[in-house]
Amino acid sequence: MKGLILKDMYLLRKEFKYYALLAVFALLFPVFTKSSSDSIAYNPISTFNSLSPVMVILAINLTLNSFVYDERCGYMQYVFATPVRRSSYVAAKYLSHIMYAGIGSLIGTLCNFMTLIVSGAMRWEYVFQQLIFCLVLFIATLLLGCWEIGLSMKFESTKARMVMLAVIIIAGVLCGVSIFLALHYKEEVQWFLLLLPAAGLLLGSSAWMVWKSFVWARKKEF
Amino acid sequence: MDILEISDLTKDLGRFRLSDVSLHIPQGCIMGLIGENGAGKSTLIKAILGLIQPDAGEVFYCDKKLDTNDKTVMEQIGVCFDSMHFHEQMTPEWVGRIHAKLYPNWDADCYEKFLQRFDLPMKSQIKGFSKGMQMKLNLAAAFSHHARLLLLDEPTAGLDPVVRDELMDIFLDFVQDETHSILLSTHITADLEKAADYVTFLHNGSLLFTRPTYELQYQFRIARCGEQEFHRLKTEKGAVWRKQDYSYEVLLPEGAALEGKVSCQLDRASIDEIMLMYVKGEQS
Repeated sequence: MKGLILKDMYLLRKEFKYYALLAVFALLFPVFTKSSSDSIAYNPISTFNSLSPVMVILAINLTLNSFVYDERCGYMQYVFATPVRRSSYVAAKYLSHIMYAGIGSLIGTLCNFMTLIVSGAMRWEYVFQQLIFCLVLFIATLLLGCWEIGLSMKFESTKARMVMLAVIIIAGVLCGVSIFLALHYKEEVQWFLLLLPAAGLLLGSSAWMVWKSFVWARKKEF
Repeated sequence: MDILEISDLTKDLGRFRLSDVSLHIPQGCIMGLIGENGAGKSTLIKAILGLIQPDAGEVFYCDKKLDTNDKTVMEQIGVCFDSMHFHEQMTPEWVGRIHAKLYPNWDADCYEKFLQRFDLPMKSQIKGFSKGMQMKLNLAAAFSHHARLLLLDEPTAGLDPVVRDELMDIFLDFVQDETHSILLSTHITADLEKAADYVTFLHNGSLLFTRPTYELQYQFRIARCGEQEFHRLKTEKGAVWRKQDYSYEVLLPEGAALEGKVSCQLDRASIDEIMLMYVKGEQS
């Protein structure tokens, strides 16, 4: 499994570079848009950096790209002729996705903190909000990962990408509504924590379904 | 002991069917796998490796049922497919690093020596490699984890005669250890004449024969004859014939024994000619 993660990291190194550049831009974005800072103290919605969800969506794209690389060279055919088990391949994809989701959510949250710091509206109560926001982003990424990995394994990445475009719109709306509710009903925020096990459950069931068809039933042939 | 035994392997792919293929590869030998395009050579190799699920039949490795989920067994099997399966952005150096994680018995020194022997640059991206260089990289990876059995699907495709000759020497060196074996699928039958101990011929998904290479070289004969002689020869055991413009060609699996007993000329048949006769010829 280490070899598979290493291989994905190596192939995605260019994307990582672009991602890092964009992260720097997103972090500096509040500096360029400082003129709107007056309203921040009064409107918590505007303490959010509009680029932070983009950072998460790009993190999701990394997982999908790793499938594209594998498909282009027929890597799966080769790797399953080595001591690598199908289960290790599936596990490596899910683990990488969780890692990218975590990093993407953290960067997204750091972007928001930057907005608060630059605007001078940093307050302790916002720290808690931001952590909730980070959690919501992480959950949204995990939910999208359930679809993404399952679809890529089943239909290959081109079809998966098409479906994901549709799914991203739904997930984006859900994510936006969640963030909005999290901000306006702060006292009910513990309910949002329930989303984490729910997302975990969905990710787990997605992994189980992929596992069942890909590893046990060996429906996919090369 | 056989290193690999395939028993009644069947796979229906709709447009194509691999039918009841049985063969066994003894230790310390090179088995050549020949057949026209679409005969089922790659399908057979994939079925052995578990990349496709056979509808029936079994594969045994060292007398035990081959479990492709068993890491210790798969470590002992090296593979080389007919195309490059490493992404074009990779370099041989990174192929080595990644394989070191995939194979516990990966030998980095051996890999480096193969790269040097094949004149492959360590740090250049694969996208700049010719087809031959890509194939050499595949082979370097297959040879560097101390496999006992190599399954090679057209490894010499795209290689020039000099490199092919060198490769055959490497294959022969490999089977000097009598616990090692190679299953080598190829269209270049001259390579098999040099290196293979046995030749297995697949045609339309069925196994036509497995014979020692010397038998093909020294016992098979082709008779080029007129109609009268043809009618006599076509009744010989296993005879295959083809009508030419003004004569008949008859392939005689036991033709060596007929030398001096027939009025027409009997020529030694090359593996290419044998393959051609079985694919295009008629049989009673």
